[in-house]
Amino acid sequence: MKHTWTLAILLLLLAALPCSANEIAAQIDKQLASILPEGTAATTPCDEATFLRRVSLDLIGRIPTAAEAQAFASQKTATARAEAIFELANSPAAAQRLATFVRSLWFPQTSVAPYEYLAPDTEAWVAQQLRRGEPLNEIARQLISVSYAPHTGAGQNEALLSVPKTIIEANDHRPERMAANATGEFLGVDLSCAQCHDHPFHAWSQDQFWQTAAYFEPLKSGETAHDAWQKQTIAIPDTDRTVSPALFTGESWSPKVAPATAISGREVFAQWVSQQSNRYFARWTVNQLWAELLGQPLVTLHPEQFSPAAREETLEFLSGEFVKHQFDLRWLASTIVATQAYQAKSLAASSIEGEYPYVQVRGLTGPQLFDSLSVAAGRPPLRTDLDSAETIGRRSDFVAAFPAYRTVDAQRSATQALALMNGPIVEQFCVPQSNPLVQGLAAAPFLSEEECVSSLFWSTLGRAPHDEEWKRLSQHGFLQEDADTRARRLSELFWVLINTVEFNTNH
Amino acid sequence: MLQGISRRLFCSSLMAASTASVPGGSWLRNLAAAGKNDTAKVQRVILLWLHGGPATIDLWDVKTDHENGGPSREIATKTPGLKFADHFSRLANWSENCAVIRSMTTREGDHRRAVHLARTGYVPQAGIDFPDFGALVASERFSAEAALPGFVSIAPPQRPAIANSGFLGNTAAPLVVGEMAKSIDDLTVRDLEPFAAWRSHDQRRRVDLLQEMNQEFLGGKPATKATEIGSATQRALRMMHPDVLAAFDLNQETGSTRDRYGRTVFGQGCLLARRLAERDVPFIEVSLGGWDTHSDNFNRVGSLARQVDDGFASLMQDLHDRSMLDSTLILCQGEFGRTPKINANTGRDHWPRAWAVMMAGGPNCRGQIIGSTSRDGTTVETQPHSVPNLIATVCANLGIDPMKQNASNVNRPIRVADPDAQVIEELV
Repeated sequence: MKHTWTLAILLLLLAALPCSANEIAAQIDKQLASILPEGTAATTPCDEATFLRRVSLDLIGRIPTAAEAQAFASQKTATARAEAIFELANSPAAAQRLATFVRSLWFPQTSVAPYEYLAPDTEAWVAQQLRRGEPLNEIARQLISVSYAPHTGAGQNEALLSVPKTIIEANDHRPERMAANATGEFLGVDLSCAQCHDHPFHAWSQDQFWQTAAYFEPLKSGETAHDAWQKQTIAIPDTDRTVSPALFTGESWSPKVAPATAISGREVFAQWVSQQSNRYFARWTVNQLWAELLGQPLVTLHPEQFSPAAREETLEFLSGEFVKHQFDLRWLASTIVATQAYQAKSLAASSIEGEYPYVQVRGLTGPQLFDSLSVAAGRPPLRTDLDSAETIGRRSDFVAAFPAYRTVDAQRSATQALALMNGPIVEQFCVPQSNPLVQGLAAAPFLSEEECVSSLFWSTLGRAPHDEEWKRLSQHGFLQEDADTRARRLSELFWVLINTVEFNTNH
Repeated sequence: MLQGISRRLFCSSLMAASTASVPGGSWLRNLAAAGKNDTAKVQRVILLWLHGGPATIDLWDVKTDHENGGPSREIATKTPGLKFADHFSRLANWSENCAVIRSMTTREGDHRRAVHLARTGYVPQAGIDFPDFGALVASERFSAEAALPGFVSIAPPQRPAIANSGFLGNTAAPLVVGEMAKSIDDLTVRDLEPFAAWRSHDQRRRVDLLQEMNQEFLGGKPATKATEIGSATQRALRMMHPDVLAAFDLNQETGSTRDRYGRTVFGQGCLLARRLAERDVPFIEVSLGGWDTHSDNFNRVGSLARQVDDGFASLMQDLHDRSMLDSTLILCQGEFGRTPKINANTGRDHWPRAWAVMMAGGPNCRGQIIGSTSRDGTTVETQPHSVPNLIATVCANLGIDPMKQNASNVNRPIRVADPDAQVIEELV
C-alpha cells in the first residue's frame, strides 16, 4: 500500500480536527482501563496480520488480498494501524458494509421472507447517503418520514435514488407496526410488549404504545393546517379508547414546520428521533455498532442485567462524541476499531467473561464470506455496477444459503458446512479453471512448491504457514515436487484453507 | 447415491475422527444413544405433510349420509365406530394405534398464511421469523455429537416457504432430502459428496489436514463462535461418513420392502423416514403435494390417498416390528380442509373452519375420535381445536415444555406454542 499521500491527509486532518478517532479512542481506553482484569496493566495487542484481517473484514467486508496482507505485515511504522483504518473507513466499500449494518439494524425483517425484496434497494440508498457523507440521523429522518406523496420540493437532485419506502412496506402500511419498528429498531426502545395490554414489568403502557402509533396514521388528504397531525387519532383495538399522538417520553416537543404547510405525524416523529438531543438514537447506534465490531455490546441489552459503570460511562461518552461528530457513522466505526479493546489479541472463552469488553471471535456474515472467497481465489472484489448478472446472481444465491447479515448472528449449520465443502458455488472457487490464483501458481514453473503454498496461505489466511504447518503440509504430500499435479494439489489445499475455522471467523 | 468409492476414500480418516469422541462399539449407535432424552416416552415425530390442503372430508371424516360427501365411501377399521375413507384399506388395520381429530378449526384460508400457521403454530406477524415446529423439536433435541441433524425434510414442495428454522438459527435448520423431487431418483441430499472432478481421488489428505488445522486453531481459541463453526464442520464431515450416507441409500432395502411402501416419491420418502427414525432423528417430515383439488377432487384425492395408505401403513408396520411405534408419533395433515360443498368442477375449495388431523403411534393414540363436525361437514360441533393445541399436545408427548420461551429475531421472546394453547386431553 502506498501510504505517503494518505499520511499527509491524515496529518492534515489530525491538525484540523480537535478530536480525531484516535484521540477519542485513547480516551475510551483510559475509561475502560479501570475494568481490565486484575494484574493487567494493558491489553495485549494482536499481531499485524490479525489486525489487518480483522479490520478489513469489519470495515470493508472482506479479507485483505495477499499483497495487502504482505505489505502491511512488513510495515513497522507506529502509525500503520491508524493509516490502514483511515484508508479502509473512507473507501466506498466501507459505505456498503456499513449500509448492510444499518439496513439489518433498522429493518431486520428485510433479511427474511416476505420482505427480503426490500433489502437491496434500501442498502443501496443508505450506502449512497453514507458515501455522500450524510449524517446518520438525517438518513434515519428520511427513512422514517418517507411517504408516497409526490415530491414537490424544488432543487432536488434527480440523479439521486429516491428514498426507499421500506418503513411502510416492511410494515404492511400499518401504523402500529411502523411505530414499533421506528422505536424498537431505530431507538432500541421496545414499546410493542405494551401493544395488547399494560405490561406489569415493563415501563411502557398500552396508551403510550398507541399514542406513538398515532404519529403513523396517515394525514387526511387535502390537509393544509400546520398542526393537522396533532388531530390525528387512532383507536386502541378491543377497547373504546382513542388516543392522539404523544411522545412516550412524556416530553412536550414541537417540530419545525414551514409556515402554511401540513406535515404528517410521521415526519414529526422522524424529526424527534433524529434531533441532536434525542437521548436514545445515538446510544442505540453506538452500542449496536460496538456489538457488530467487537461481538458483544458495550452495555448489556438484557433488561435484568447491569453493565459495569465504566462501560456505561464509555457508552455515554462515545454517544456524545458521535453527536458532536455530526452522526458520522464512518467516524464512529473508525473510532471503535482504534480502541485497545478492539485491537486486543482475542482471548480464550474462559477469560472473556470479565468486565472488560474485549473483542470476541465472530463468524463471517454471508456477504463477508462470499467476498472473502472471491478475494482469496485471486479475483477482484465483486462490483454490482461492473460485474455480470451471472456473477452477481451467484453471490446472491450464496448469500441466500448463508443468510446472516450481522456478525453476532452468523451461525453455521451442517448443511452450510456441506455446501462450503462440496457445493457447486464453492467448487467454482476451488477448481483451477476458475481460480485465477491456483491457475497462476500452477503456470509458474519458476516458483517452488513452498512459494506456491506460502502464496495460498497469504491469500486465504493473510499469513505465512508456521513451522508446525510446514511439517504437516509435507507429511500430507502438499509439498511434493510434481509439476503435473501441482494445480490439483494447490486447489485441494485451497479447499482445506477456506474450510478452516480460521478462515470462517473474524478472530 | 451411495457407492464404494466414498467408503474406501473416507473410511480411515473419518472413522478415526468419529470414534475419537466415542470409544468402542458402533459409533453410530453410541452417538444416537448419547442424544436420547430418556425421560420422554415419545422420542421422535414423523410428519406426513399433505401440501395444498387435503379434503379431510374425503379421508377421515366422510359424510356418506349427506350430499356434501359426494361419492366418497367409508370402510370399517379394527376399532369399532372408527371409519376411514375406503382408500385406507391397509391403514384400517392399524386403527388401534391411530387417533383422528375431527374438530380442527382455524381462520386462515390463504395457502401461505395457513401453511405458516399449521407449521409454526402462529399466524404470520410483523417480521418475526417463526421456526417450523420441526426446528423447535430439533432445537430441543439438539446434540452436537449426533451424526444426523435433528430435523430432516423429505421432498418438500418448495423452500423457504416451508421447512425453516427461523429465529432458532442454523443448528435447528432442516437437512433437505430431494427438494421439489419429481422422481424417486431425486431423493438425494445436496453436497454430501465431493466435487465430481475429485471423486476418483483420495480425499484423505485434505480432510486430515483440515481437521489438524482446526484442532490447532480451536485449541488456542476455545471461543464459542469458533467452536460452533468447528463443530458444524465436524458434523458435516460425519455426514459424509459412509454409514450416514447409507442411511439415505434406499437400495439397501429389499425390493419387496420398497414395493410395500409404494414406488412413489412419497412412498419411498416414508421408507427413508423409517431409516432415519431408526437412526434417532427426532423430527422427520415427508411431503406429498397435489391436494389443492379445486377441480376433479374425488379422482385426485383417491390417487393421492392410496399413496398415503401404502406409505403410512408400511411405516406403522415397520415401526411396530422394530418396537418403535410407541416411541414414534406420526402426524398426517395439511394446512386446512376443503369446502364440504362440491363446486361446479367437481372440486372442493379452501375450508379452514372444519378439518381433520390424523395422529398415530406414541403411547396415547388408541383408536380415539376427537371432536365432531356437523352433518354437512361445514362446522365443528364439539371439542374445537386450534393448531397451537395440536402443537402443545405433541410437545407434551415429547416432554417439551410448550410454554418455554425462545429469543426471537425481533428481541422479543416467543413461546414454543401460543400461550393460549390447551393440550388435547385424550392424547396426553
